Amino acid sequence: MTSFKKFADACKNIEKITSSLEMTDQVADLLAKVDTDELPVVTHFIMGQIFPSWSSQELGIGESLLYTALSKASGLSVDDIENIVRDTGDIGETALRALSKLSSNQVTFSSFVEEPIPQLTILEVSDRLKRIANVSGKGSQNQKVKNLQYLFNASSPEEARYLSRLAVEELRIGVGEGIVRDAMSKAFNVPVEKLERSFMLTNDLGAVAVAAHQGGEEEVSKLDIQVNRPVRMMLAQVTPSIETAFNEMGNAAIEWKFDGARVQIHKDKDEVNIFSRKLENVTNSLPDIVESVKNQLNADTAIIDGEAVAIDEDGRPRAFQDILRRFRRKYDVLSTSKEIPIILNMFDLIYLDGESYIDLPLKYRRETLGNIVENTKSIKVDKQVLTSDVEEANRVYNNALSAGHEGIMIKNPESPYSPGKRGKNWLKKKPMMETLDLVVIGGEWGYGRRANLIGSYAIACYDRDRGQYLPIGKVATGITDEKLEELTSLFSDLIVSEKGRKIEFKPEIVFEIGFEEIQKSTNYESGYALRFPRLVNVRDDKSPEESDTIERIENIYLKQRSRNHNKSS
Amino acid sequence: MFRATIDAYLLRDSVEILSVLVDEIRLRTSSDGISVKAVDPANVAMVTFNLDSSAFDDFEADESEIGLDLTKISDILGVADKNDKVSMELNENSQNMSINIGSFSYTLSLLDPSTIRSEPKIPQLELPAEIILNGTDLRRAVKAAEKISDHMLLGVNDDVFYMEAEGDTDKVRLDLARDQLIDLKPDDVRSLFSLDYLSDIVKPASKSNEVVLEIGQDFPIKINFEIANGTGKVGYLLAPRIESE
Repeated sequence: MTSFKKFADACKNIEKITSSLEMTDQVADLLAKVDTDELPVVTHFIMGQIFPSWSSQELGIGESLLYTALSKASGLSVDDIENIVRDTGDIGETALRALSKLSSNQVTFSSFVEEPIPQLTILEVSDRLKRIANVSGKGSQNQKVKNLQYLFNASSPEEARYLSRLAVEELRIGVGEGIVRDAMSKAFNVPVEKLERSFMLTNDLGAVAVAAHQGGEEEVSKLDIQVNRPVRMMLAQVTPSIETAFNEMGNAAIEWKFDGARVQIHKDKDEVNIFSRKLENVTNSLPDIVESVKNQLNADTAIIDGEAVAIDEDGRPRAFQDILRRFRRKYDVLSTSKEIPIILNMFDLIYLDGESYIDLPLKYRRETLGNIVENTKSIKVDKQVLTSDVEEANRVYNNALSAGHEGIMIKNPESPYSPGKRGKNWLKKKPMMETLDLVVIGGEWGYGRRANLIGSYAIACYDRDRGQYLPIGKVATGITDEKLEELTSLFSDLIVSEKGRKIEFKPEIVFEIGFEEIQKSTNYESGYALRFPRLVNVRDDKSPEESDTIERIENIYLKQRSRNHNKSS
Repeated sequence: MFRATIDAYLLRDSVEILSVLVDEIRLRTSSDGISVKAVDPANVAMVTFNLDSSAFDDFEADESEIGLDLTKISDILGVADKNDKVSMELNENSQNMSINIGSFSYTLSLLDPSTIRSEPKIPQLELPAEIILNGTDLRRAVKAAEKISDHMLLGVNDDVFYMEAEGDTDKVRLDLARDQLIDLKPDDVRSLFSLDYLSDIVKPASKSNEVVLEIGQDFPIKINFEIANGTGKVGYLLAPRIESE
């Protein structure tokens, strides 16, 4: 049994470290120390998560609920708590201060029983948090508050610092998937690539940790895809031109790149589940697709990769927003499905009748997919052209564009399906200049006419190793007043703290940002800045972890430099 | 086995007494009757509840433990008139309970008792002062306090039982001398309690003519009363707030 104090102590140590290597060592020590049944909990906790990535379960502890629980546990008023939040700008510090103050504190029965008070354990914290996630219906708010209150009462102020951050699922100690994976490798002596692969297949680092602990490399390799648990989607790199792509690939499989939303379809006998790019379960909003899949997919169990496209009367793709309207729909699902019909284009097969297909070559996966789907108007396996002729690829590209789609995908026909990888086996060609998807982490209230609006937004890229967002600039252009109002209300729920005009947001919303150039900069933590950043779109379909990484920024920067170099010479 | 028939109002009162603190209970049954021990999720308030078999029109039970969702039961009881009878029977194989109210018949799925928080250890407390008073007097004092503060002091000084609440600007105090009480065993004590809990607890207690309070110095309070003409016993225990100056 590991106490929560041990976990909190480890967090405190790690928080002070800046070197990734040292951090990895510390996490490895922690993972090696805990019991097997605690391992999945600790693996997720240390990244500030409660549930594995494949799960669509949410904790659902908002600011007000947390403040109420802290108020009840400390005896301070909710106003007092809010003042401390404004002061410290951090919920962890707030919990620490509030519980150190303890005015007129509510005590529990633990003070009146003879036996020594048992220390709060990691499993108990996990158990209570899961309980909070599961209560629903009348009086559920009250139950949530009381469970949190209990945890705060049972913990020391130091423990409460990390407990409160866990409660909002943001531990902020700089440990992300990358470090946990490397730490696991060190603690259990399993190669990083094996761990990474199993993680991409299962989306459950906790399960990977348990396997690594119990049976090392062999057990980790046994972890495989499961129907109804989303697999990370394979991603594509941008290619500057079709010619470059063919130079690298020789023979290529060309597909249209649809202007729609990526979906992963899981069929398990009569049950169909659909996951979005963020791996959220969107099945309930897409009854038409579910029905078509049931009728036209000849497989017992299958996982299929595809793109859902909203179409207008002429069969042309509609605006991206329309498809998101379908994805988010909870009520009137049927009428919206008539208003915005969706067609499903399938292009890859990940799993079929108990067998994983990811290691088989694309051309074979594709052929099999064609054999199990009965094409109709609403769902079909999309056309694919196998060619080594650049001209033919160009023709497909122009056709796709004139049909209103984004461009083409150029794929290596011999390549495996690499979950979660943005490799060289899938390339995409789009006419537009490149944009970056960046997370909004802060903002500033405007001046004058815009005083009640958040007028500027601080944007950041993702550091996957650390699970951190690195500031890269601010964006204030490309936004109409109307849009500003919309954004202000969107962000008002995400405010973590305010200091003067400056606001800090919970990183959740992803902006698609257009820019002229990436420059080196000492102004921002990422070490880069954007020249002429402008807001192109709000990427509702992307989670913050899917925003562009610091590695990608570096890559674009280097490419840009070599391009400029060529021009001048 | 468990088979029982009871007045709807009595069952409703019993559910209310328990749902003040918890949503789910482990109901213990035996040939003598039913009993529940529960603690609220924050570990601040406890309840012990006993209802003798004689409170039922018809009662037959073995020693057993049943997991119940109180919210569901109170929803079901929504259809019942005050004078209706409710009859319940456990179907042990299918893990559910049949509940009949008038012409309505429900099948209520049961919870696995092991998923419900286990019964609390009831701390053994020596509380020096004891006050017996009318439940409505207690409720009135709590209601007055709610208007002013979120906590309230209960104490005894000489031969007077007092309840006092102090907000940021205002203050309210109710003094009840020995002759205004049913009985008093005095001692110089006082303890502070959260109205969050006290308000909820005194609601069911206010229906009783005789509520027994036991108070100590910065100690939990015991609030005991009877229901169903003495065939049912309810005991709440509420942990205090400790004033730190």
